[in-house]
Amino acid sequence: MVKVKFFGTARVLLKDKEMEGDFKDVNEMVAAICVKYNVTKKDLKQYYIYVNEVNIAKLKKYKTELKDGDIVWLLSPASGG
Amino acid sequence: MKSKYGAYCGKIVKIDLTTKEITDYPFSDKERELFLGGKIMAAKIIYDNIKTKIDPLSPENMIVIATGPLNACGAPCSSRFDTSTISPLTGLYTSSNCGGNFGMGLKRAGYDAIIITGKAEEHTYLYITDDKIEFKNADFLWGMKTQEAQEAIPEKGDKFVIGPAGENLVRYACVISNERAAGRGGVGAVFGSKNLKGLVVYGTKSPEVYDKKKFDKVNKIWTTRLRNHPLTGAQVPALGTAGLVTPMHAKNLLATNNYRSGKYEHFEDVNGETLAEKYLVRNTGCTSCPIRCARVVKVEGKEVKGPEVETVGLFGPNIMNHDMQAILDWNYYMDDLGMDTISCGNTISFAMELNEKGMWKNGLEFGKIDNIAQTLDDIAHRRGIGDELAEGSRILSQKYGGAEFAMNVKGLELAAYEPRGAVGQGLGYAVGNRGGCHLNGGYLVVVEGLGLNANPYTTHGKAELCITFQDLMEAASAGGSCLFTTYAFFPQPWVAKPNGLFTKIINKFITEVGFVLRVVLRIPTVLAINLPHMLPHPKAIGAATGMKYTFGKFIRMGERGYNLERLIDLNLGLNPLEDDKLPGRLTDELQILNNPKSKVPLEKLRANYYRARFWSKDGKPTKKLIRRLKLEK
Repeated sequence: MVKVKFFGTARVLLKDKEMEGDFKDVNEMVAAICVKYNVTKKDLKQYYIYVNEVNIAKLKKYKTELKDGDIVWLLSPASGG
Repeated sequence: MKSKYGAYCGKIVKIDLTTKEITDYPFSDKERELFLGGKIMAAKIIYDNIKTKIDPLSPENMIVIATGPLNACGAPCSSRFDTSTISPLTGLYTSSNCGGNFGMGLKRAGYDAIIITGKAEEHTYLYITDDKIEFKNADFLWGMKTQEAQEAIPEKGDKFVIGPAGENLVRYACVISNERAAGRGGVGAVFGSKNLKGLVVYGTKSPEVYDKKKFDKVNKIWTTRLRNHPLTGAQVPALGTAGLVTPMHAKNLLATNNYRSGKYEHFEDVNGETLAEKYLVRNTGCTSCPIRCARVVKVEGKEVKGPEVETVGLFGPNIMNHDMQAILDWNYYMDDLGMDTISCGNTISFAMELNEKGMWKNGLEFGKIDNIAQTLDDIAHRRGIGDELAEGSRILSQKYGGAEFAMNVKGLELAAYEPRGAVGQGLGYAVGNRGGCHLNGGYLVVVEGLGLNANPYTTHGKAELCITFQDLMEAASAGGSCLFTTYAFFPQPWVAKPNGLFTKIINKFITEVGFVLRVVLRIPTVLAINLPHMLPHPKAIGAATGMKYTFGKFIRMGERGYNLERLIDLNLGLNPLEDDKLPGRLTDELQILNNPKSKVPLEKLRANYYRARFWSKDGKPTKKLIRRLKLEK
C-alpha cells in the first residue's frame, strides 16, 4: 500500500489527513484522489508532490512509479514570519 | 511641529524620565518624506542622538516608540508600530515590531512617536491621553506578569507593559500589548533599566488622510488582494505561521537538535496542521487585518494566543520535543513573563548542547521537558541557572565556550529556519543590522523553498534578492504595515501553480537576474510606477499623506532606512568583517553529509552583498552612497 499524506491547504481542501491505496504511479494516485474527494486534477496542481521526501520534479514527475510502502506528501507553498 | 501631510499627527514628544520634562521633538516634513515613520523615523532620531557606544541598560539609552502614516487610518493590516532602542543583547540598534492596538491608540492620542530618555527615580508607568502625559507610580505593578499588570492598571486605554523578565533585565525581555509582543532585541530590559513598567494610551482623535476617496479605493483593491492570494488568503489564515513547519521539514529548513539537522522525525506532532486540528479554538487578527494569522488556544482552561512558527520550532524540534501542548503552555508563560521566545528557546538549546558535551553541567537535556517551565520562571527571575541563561547565548559562549554552536549573530539568536537548507537566508542572518533576525535579514527563505522553489544552494543573485527584500520590508514596516502584506507581492500564479511552466521558469531564473536587480538598486527611482495589485503600499501612503510615492521611491526609502541602521551600528562599534558572520556550524559543517553544497558559503555571499549594496569591501556605506541617500549630516 502507498500512504498519501495531505498537508497545508491540501488538508483544508480535501478535509482529510491521509489516504492509502495501490497506485502504479503518481498519475494514477492523482486520479484516485480526484475520484475519492470529488476534486479536479487542476485543483491538485497547486500542490508540490513528494515521494519518500523527494519532490517529483526531481524524479519522473507524474510518471514517477510508486510501490508498496512508499509515502507521498501533498504540500502547499507557504509563508509566515 | 505640525505637518502639511495627511495621516500624520505632526507631533513627536521627548519624555525625560529623570527630570520628568516633556518637550516637543522637532521633525520636519522634509524628514517625513525621507524617513516616513516607524523604524526608519526611529532610526533617524536615534542616529541624531546616540553617536557613540553606550551601555544599553544605562539612562543614556533612549526608547523610540514610533507609528507609521498608515496606522489608525483604515488601511488593511496597518496596526503595526515599532519600539526602537540600543539592544542589551547586541549593543546595536534594534527595532521591535508589534501588532495589536497600541500604535493606533498612540496616534489617536495625537502622537506620531514618543521618545523616552533617562531613568525614573521610582517605578513608573506613563498615562498618555489626548495631548496630556502623566507619570504614574508603578510600585503596585512591579513584580506582576504582563497580563495581570495590564488588568491592574486602572486607566482605560491600550497598554504596553513589561513583566518580571524586563524588571530583572533579562537581555531578551520583551514588551507586551494585550497578547502581542515587541519581542526581539531586549527592548523590555531597556524599559526595566529605566524603572518603566509600561505605558497606557487613550485618544479620541482620528488622523485625517489626504485623499480619502483615493485611499479607500486603494484599500479596497489591497484587501481583495490579501483575501484572494493563496498565501495571505488561504494558507496563513488556515494554519497560522506554524503551517510552515511541514514545508520547512520537507526542505531541510527546520532547525532541529540545536541546528544539527533541518529535519525532525516527529514534525507531524508539532506542525500547523496538528495545531489547527487538535488545539485551535479559533483564529483571530489585529484590527483592520483580513489575514487573521493569530491562533487562539487553551492553556490551563484559559483562551490565550497560540505560538508562532518560531516558538514551535525552537521549543519543539530544536530541543527534540514533540509535545505540542507543552509548547502552547510555555509560549503563554513566556509572553506572561515578558520574554522573547526566539532568543529564549535558542539559548536553552545551546545550554542543552553545552550540557551534553560536558562544558556546562546545568541539568538541561534534549528531549527532557519536565524542567522547562521552571527554567523559564527561573530565567525571568534570574534564579539559579536562569540568571546565566538570562544573558543570552553569546555571553554564555564567552564563559563556557561553544561559540561555533551558539546560534546567534551579533548576539541576537537566530529564528527557526536552518540556513544550510537556504543559503540566502544564511546571508540575511549574517548581515542583518539587528543580528540574526530572519525578517531584517530579508526572509529569502520564502523564495528559496517555502513560497517559491528557487535553487536554495546557489550563490547567484542571492545578494541582490536579499537586498531587494530587506529594503521592501523595511519600507513596508516604516509605513505601519504588517510584513505579511509583502507576501502578496508574489503574483498569484507563481504560488497557486507551483508546478506550472511559468513558475518553473521563474524558479529557474529568479537567481539569474542579479545584474538587473543591481541596476534597479542603483537607481530605484527610475521605477516611477505603481503596482497597486502587487504592492499597494506606496500608492496607499501617497493617498494617505499627499506625498508623491512610487514603487521606486518606496524601495529607495527602505534602502535609506537599512543604511541608516548600519550607520548607527557603525557608530556603536560594529566591525562588519568580524560581526557579519554565522556560527561555525553553519559555514563549516555539512548539514547533509553526502551533499557538499549543504553549508553556507558566507564569504562569497557576503562579498557579493557588500558590492550590491554599494558598500566598501569592509561592509560600510560609502560617502557617495550616504550622499545619494541624503543621509549626510
